[in-house]
Amino acid sequence: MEIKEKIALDMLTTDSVSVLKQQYITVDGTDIRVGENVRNAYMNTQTERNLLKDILPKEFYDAVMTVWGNAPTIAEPSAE
Amino acid sequence: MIIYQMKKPIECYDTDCVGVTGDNIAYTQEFYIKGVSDNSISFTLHLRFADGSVNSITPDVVIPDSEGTKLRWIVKKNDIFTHGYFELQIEARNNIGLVFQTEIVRLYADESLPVEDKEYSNPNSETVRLREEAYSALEEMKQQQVQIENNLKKIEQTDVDTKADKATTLAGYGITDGENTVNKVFGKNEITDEEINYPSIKYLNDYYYDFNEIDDELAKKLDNTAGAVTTDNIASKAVTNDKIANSAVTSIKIANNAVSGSNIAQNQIGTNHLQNGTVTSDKLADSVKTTINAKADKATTLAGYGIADGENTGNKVFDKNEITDEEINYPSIGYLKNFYYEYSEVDSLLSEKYDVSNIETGNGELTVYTQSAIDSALIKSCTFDYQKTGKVVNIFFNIVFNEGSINYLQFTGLPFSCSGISNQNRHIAATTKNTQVIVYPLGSWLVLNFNEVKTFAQDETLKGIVTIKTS
Repeated sequence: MEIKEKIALDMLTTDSVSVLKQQYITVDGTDIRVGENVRNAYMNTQTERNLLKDILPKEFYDAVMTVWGNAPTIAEPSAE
Repeated sequence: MIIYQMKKPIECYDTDCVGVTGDNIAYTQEFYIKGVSDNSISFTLHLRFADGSVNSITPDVVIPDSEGTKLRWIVKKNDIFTHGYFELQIEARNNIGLVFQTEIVRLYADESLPVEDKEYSNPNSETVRLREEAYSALEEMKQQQVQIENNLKKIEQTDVDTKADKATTLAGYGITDGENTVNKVFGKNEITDEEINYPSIKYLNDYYYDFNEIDDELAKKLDNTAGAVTTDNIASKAVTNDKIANSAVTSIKIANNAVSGSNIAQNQIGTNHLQNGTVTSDKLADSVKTTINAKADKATTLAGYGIADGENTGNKVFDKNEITDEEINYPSIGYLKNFYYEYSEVDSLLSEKYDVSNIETGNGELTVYTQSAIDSALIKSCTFDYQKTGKVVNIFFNIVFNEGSINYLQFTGLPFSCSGISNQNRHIAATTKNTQVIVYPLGSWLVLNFNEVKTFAQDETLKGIVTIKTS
């Protein structure tokens, strides 16, 4: 039985995005969710832009980049 | 032997009938006796009537001639006692004795008219019979008069004025305690008096939740069960059965009995419900009985008319202290307003509560925000569970260290990016080795600041909670 993963881009702003991943199986044509929500948010830094590229399928990544633009809006964090 | 001159009676075909004597006022019968011409003979006519009475009459005229003797009988009113057939025999006598008797013949006398004899000084059997008939008729008339008087008394006792004309409305009968269907409202724009108006099913459906609808709404709300909400404050304000009573939408129960609009049909005041027996005499004239039977005793109540299927307004309640029987009482519009939430009110109350759709739980892994290669090597695992209620997210993180040292760590991948001044939302936490650390969220980052270089043992663990507010 194949487990499908659905991805939702939540709270997408120019500075951040929350990525929700949910897993489903299909029984008799009906999608039944299995497991828990898996959610992570990311800031529009260069590091996390790169991270998103590895995490998200291309179409989702492109959607985020459409909002985020070509350049990061948040500076990389530094130790206090 | 007897010669007679008599008219034949009408419709008399009896061969024994020899004729009629006519009425008994005046009629003349003549007989001729052949072979008897003797002046010394006297004649007598013997009559026997149907009732057994007898009469003997001397002929008025006796005329002997050479061949016989002619007898003439002028019939007088007292000669014939009773009408109908009678027998006649002529007897002849002389000074020696009986000479002869003729054969008996039958004659017929029609029914005579009553003879006027005011004093009955000279009645015959006919007039006596007529008198007796008159007395009998008079007696019967007296009895009828008595009956009529009795009937009149009964009619007076059942005065028609006390009867109500047949009607098809409560007002038509003057009933004051019957629920008038005009008081039933389908919409708020029809309300004229909240104490008098009562709801139809449509009204309840349009303005009030039923049990199922409330249950559906409640199912969307946060329940005070384990795991759903751990914040006492939220739990205490959760929508519970105590706050929305089970009886909140009991209108359905009430409506089942209240809206008997279909029960208060136009035919409710039918003849079946009119009181029978008001005029019990079956001897009244048909017209009078018809009139009385079409009436009901005047009354001002349903019971007065014996109406069993009319809703009594006494059962309508405006306040709970008026309830006497929950199966019988039905609500006024005012009662519903006073004790039940309408759609909009329930919606308003529910909207202030946390909804299941606002509750989200899940987990994730944090990613070390690499400052140097040692940063990632120091972290064995970093996971979290979260619960989002509305805009508030509680994050329960669990960081397991490998052996090593560091003074600052930053992770990315909190479930939501916090807004506002979350970087000031700082907490002090301690690892399983009692290593203290300042923890705070910043955007989607989780920051651990040890202020100085700290050394961690293998599998030393830091567990804690950060709370953020999403935008």
